[in-house]
Amino acid sequence: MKFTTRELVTMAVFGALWGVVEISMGSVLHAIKIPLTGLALTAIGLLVALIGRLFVPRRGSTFFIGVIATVLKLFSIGNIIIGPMIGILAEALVAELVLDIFSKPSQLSFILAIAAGALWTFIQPFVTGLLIFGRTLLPIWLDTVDQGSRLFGLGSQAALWIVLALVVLYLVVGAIGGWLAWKLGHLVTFRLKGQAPAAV
Amino acid sequence: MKRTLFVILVMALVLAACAPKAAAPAGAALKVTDGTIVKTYTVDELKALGSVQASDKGIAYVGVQLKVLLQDAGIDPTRLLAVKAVASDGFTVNFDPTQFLADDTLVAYAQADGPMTAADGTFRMVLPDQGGKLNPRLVTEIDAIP
Repeated sequence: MKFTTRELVTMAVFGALWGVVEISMGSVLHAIKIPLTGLALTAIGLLVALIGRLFVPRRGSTFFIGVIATVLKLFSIGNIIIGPMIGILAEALVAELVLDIFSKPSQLSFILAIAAGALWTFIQPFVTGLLIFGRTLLPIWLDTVDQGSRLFGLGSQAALWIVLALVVLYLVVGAIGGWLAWKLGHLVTFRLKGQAPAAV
Repeated sequence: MKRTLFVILVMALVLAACAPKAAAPAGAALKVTDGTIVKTYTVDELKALGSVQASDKGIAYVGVQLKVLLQDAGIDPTRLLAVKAVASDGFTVNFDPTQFLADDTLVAYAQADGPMTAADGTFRMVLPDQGGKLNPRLVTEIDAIP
């Protein structure tokens, strides 16, 4: 698939915006120890990427935006960034695959795309932990249960309920992100072009 | 637009509400437990158990091997499924047997060239060549998971 120069520039702009969100907000949120930082960053990053999708409504554009953001993440100061970089790329890929199911952008496709991307954030520690960081399944599972236990104030005996609640939380936050991306995308398009997005 | 801003505000408030409580001051005692056995250690008691060195991010730390600490507390580390380190701010991380039985997995109580920094707290975990998440600082408790 070939993109025009204008489309490439537009995708680069939205990729850069996502990258800046990751570098700046990522550091701040980690520093102030807000829980579910990854989820918040995923929702905001994909929100930016999907607004970009309204400007370049073609297959591959969301993934391309994610690639730009991933490259920019290399410039993060300090911590290990291989996990977040894989995260950005995988979230963009998941969102792209969901969006590609639909013939053109719609509110439903946006909601499903960010919800699926957010769900990846939940699944990623299991994948990267096992394949990259050499951890085993049990400690990753226990970490997840502990995280949910602290968040919901439930005892770790209710492990399955905690994990179920986390999955629902990730999906809901992602869905809200998708809804916001659709609304904000239209607002931005109206502001810039004085008309609804060409994609719709 | 107003509705969108309202949703953003609500999401921000929900996230803020989820922020962890203020970190409890890192105590000078480390609790080691498996649910039935509970034992607490001071820095001096830990020093008496040994002084092994290991590094994290280029800083050399002195501490006691985690498996030695567990054995001293009366817990057989070879029978455990996992070991959890709990930090004073509630952060937890779980280690699998290859990690908590390793010779260079330490509960550190000092740096090689001086005392621990305030950021490290009285005790911290040191697992060389592992991610920052697996090297928690301000550790107050070690939970053995049979």
